[in-house]
Amino acid sequence: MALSHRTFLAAFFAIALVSQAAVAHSTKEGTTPPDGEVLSTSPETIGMTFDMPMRVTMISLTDQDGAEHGLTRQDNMQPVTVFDAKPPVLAGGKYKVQWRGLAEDGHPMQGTFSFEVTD
Amino acid sequence: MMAALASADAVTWLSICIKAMVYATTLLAAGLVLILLSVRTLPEDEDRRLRRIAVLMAIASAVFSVLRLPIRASFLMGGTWAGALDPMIFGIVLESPLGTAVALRLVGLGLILGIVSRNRFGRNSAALGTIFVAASFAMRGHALEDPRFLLGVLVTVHMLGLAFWLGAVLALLRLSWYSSPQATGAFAAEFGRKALLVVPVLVLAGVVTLLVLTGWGVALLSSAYSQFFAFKLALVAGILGFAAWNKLRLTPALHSGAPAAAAQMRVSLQIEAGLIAAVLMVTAALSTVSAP
Repeated sequence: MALSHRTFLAAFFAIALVSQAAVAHSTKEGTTPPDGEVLSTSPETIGMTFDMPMRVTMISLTDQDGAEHGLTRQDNMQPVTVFDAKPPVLAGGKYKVQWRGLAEDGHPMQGTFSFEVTD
Repeated sequence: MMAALASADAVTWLSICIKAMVYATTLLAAGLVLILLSVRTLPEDEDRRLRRIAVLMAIASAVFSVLRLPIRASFLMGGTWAGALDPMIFGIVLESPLGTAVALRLVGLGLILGIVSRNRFGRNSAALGTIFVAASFAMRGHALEDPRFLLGVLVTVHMLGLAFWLGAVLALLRLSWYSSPQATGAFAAEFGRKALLVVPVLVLAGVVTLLVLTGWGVALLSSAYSQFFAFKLALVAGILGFAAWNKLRLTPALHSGAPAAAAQMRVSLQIEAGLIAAVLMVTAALSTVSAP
């Protein structure tokens, strides 16, 4: 039994010592356009900024009728602190952006923001 | 708190339920090993059955842990089932801290299977396995933040303490059903003595982890995370109350042969087990839909 206890303690400290370097949890700092913004022209980019690298795995842009508008992204789904995607030219209306991503510490993240384009 | 849950989609709810099952089965597998290796008053027939249950829990934990990978992939693709099978997203999940945690847990669960053997190799393998599975919970999420070493040790200690407790509750429940009041009383008394050391360490590790994560400040109760945590603490207080009742009143009553003591112990343990299940569910929700 004593040997089990020694194994237990040795393994505990071995695992503690080989633990990797610290990584942090990302949080969204801002969006482009800002949430709730009313724009007079179609936005050139749709984006988010994060305080730590985030791998954005899904982003969608839908209008008030639920129709989806494709976004062109160039991040290759790599971790980024500034995420930008190009939308097509958007007609007047209300739009919602939904995104999901994976922070460096493994936390799955999600968020939404909205903006309006006036005619 | 309720708003965070109300806005959760089907995949998030599935994720919460699977995560709670991972907690329960992993902690029971590791906890039963800790009980089998450290408590000497288990009757022989229960010792044999608890070894089998530990193996079953280890297998169930492996299945639930692996299930977390496609569910995470599905979440990352907007909650679609097609996302769960997307090779690129699945690869990203495998390379993420969740993949590392699951891999380490699977190794630990494999080692825990050594508990079927009573020889030195089996015991050492199972003991090593409990460390691996407890440490697997420190391989992801906020446990990876600075101070990484301290948080890793705290989370591992917290999980080991919790495992020991869960293992003891299951063993006590079975003894109260299938063994004599004297055997139950003897086990409860030995567990009670060990719990005097384990429980304060378990609670302290949890509290210090929370304080480190929140910057040694008291979090505002307005955030979903704080509300979840307050609810969890209330449940833990209830568990501690029942545990104290078991130790101070029911264990001596079992020893003295009081006729109703075994039935009372059984009811008390069932309520305690229900509260523990609630704590695991709340913790799964807490770590899925909110963050400190």
